[in-house]
Amino acid sequence: MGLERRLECAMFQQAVEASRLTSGDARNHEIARLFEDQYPSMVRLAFLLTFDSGASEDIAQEAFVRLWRSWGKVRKRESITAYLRSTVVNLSRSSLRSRIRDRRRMRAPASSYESDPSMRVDMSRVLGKLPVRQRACVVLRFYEDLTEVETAQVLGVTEGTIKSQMHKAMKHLERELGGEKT
Amino acid sequence: MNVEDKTRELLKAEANRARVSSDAWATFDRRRRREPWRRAAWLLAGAAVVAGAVLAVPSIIEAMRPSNEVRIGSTPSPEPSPSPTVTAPETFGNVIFWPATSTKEAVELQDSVTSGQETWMRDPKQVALKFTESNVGWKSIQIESVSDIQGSEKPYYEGERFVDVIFRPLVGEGRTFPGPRHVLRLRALPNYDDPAWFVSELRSDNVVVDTPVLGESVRSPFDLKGRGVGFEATINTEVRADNQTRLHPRRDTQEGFVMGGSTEIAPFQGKINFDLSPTPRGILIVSSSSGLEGPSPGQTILRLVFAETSGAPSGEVQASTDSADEALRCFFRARVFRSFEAGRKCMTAEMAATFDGPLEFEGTSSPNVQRFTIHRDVSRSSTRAVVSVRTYEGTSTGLTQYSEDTMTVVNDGGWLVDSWTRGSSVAIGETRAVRVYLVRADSCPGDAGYESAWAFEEREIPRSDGPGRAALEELFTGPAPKPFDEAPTPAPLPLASRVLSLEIDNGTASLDVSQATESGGGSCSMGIRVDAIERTLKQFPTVSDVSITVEGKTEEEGIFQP
Repeated sequence: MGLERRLECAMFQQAVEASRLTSGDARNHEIARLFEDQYPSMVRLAFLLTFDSGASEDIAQEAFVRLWRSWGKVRKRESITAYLRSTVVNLSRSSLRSRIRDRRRMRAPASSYESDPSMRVDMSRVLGKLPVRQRACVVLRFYEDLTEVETAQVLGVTEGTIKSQMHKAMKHLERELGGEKT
Repeated sequence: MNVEDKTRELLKAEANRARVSSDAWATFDRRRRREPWRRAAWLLAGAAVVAGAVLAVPSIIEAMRPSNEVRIGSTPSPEPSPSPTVTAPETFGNVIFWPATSTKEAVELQDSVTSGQETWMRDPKQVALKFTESNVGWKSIQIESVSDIQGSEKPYYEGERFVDVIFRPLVGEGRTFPGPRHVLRLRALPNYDDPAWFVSELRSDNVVVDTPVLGESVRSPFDLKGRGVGFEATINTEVRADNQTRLHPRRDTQEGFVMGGSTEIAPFQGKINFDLSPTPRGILIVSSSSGLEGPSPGQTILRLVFAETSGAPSGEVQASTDSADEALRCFFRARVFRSFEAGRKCMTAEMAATFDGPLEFEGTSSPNVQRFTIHRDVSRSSTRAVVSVRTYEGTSTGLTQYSEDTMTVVNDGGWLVDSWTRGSSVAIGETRAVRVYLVRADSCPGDAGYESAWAFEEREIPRSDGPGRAALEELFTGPAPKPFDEAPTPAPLPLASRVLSLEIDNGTASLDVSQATESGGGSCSMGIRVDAIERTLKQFPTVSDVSITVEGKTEEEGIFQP
């Protein structure tokens, strides 16, 4: 991780910590802790689904606002991450749909993979060709390392649907990545 | 490195490009602090809308009162007048049919006219010329008068204005001979100074319709009565839906006329059978037959409202369907014929959002659903039904696989499909064909043409399935979905009918069905239901007799009673 990223992380953690210390509300305290733990990974998840760095932060923010709003309904600590992931996936879908409506195509930034020239595979292009649900399956399975059952829970579908969606997605990835040099 | 590992590595590298702002917490903190205010703002906005509506009621009532000052809007105003508050009655669409077919369309067109477009709609004469040419086929007409009729008879809506354009079509060689007198009644939305005129009805002196009346709600068959001049004592009839689908005469029965009329005006009457309409409204066209090719010399056109529709409109958005099963049929019809637009009308917004727009719904990569069969209700209440269905996939030449799926349908002012949970796919090996018997024309047991009204559809089912039960489930699911430009075949049984048990012993099939199977309907419908079940079961050589019970209740206890 570069110096710039480490500084960003340190500042982010300090800001959250400061808020936690000053807040007397139990909900705020708990959400601050979750924010510190989960926010960066939710931003990354949204980014992998939308490939839009501006939108991905906004999506993660909105997911936490919704969590804060529905705090009374989501009490179990172990289901909070799943709740956040589901919200991020749904918001990313909405964001993509509105972009499709605006007839704007998703584009990857020009400076891809500068640190590793050997991996010049444009992942945004490869994933961008997949329907949103298949893309979400791939990201949740291979980036978040969720099991098929957990992926099904996040997406609100059956395990069978995940299997069939993954099967289709893998065919696409084999076609796109199979011949690439690494 | 295999594809999975490569994907993992690429995703990790890609994820590192996501930026997390150092002030993210502060931004979040601000957003969540705004939440209570945002809610309060929504509540205030809601309260303001309600208050506005309450305050507006007296002024709307005032505006609906008849005006003393009425003029025909044939003189274009130099400046477009500002758009007034629309107080159009919702039922305005029940009495006008051209060039708008609903109140909403009429208001939109009026707004265009007010803003200086479609200026011809301000002139009743031009509206009459365009209408008769494009809709009736009269190339030229001779207009005798345009009269404002308010005051001479009771208006349909207070404050509404209407005019009669009296004309004669020019017929014969060189179109020189003035035909019978016609009256085209045009109506305008209330409270517009410079109104657009909409066609409400066309009445010919040669064809006077007494029944039905303008805007009457009808179901098939309805009585048509009147007086007219008719070549060889026939008066031509046609019923059209608003999307121009012809509902009568039906494709398979050619009775596009009623008997009556003569060379002099004489009574005519008959029953008009028509297919279920995909739109809520349509028109009845009654014309005097000329015995020659070309437009008839006399035509009367009336607005009709359909008491029931097919629930699967093609051109018009329908917000919801009347039953859970109808919603399922609507959804699968859209799925089979790959129309996201049609499917959206019978899905909740959440369900529609699970599809990545029309591309995923209509694209070649989406499941190639050929048909579906309803198995059983998992649970059913007045607001939510969970139904077990089987969806068949394949091509038009053969089925390849099926899956046992679960559909959730919710009632939120109308039934809409809320989720479709796919089960695992099962490859279809050997298949067999079973017949599903359906009535294709309006006919009742005992009628002369009853036997010939029956036809069957063949359905391919996996050989491993019990053929009797499978055939009944196919029958209860209803006729195979038809493309959107074709009128649907009516289902012989209520769509909520379910097979509860079926046993075949010594030539007798003992069938127990759900209560819904005998719900609604008259004696004709009940006879058809029992007949459809018996014909479908008796196709099998092992069945010579059928005994039906309804949730255990036997024939002696009274079942299938109208």
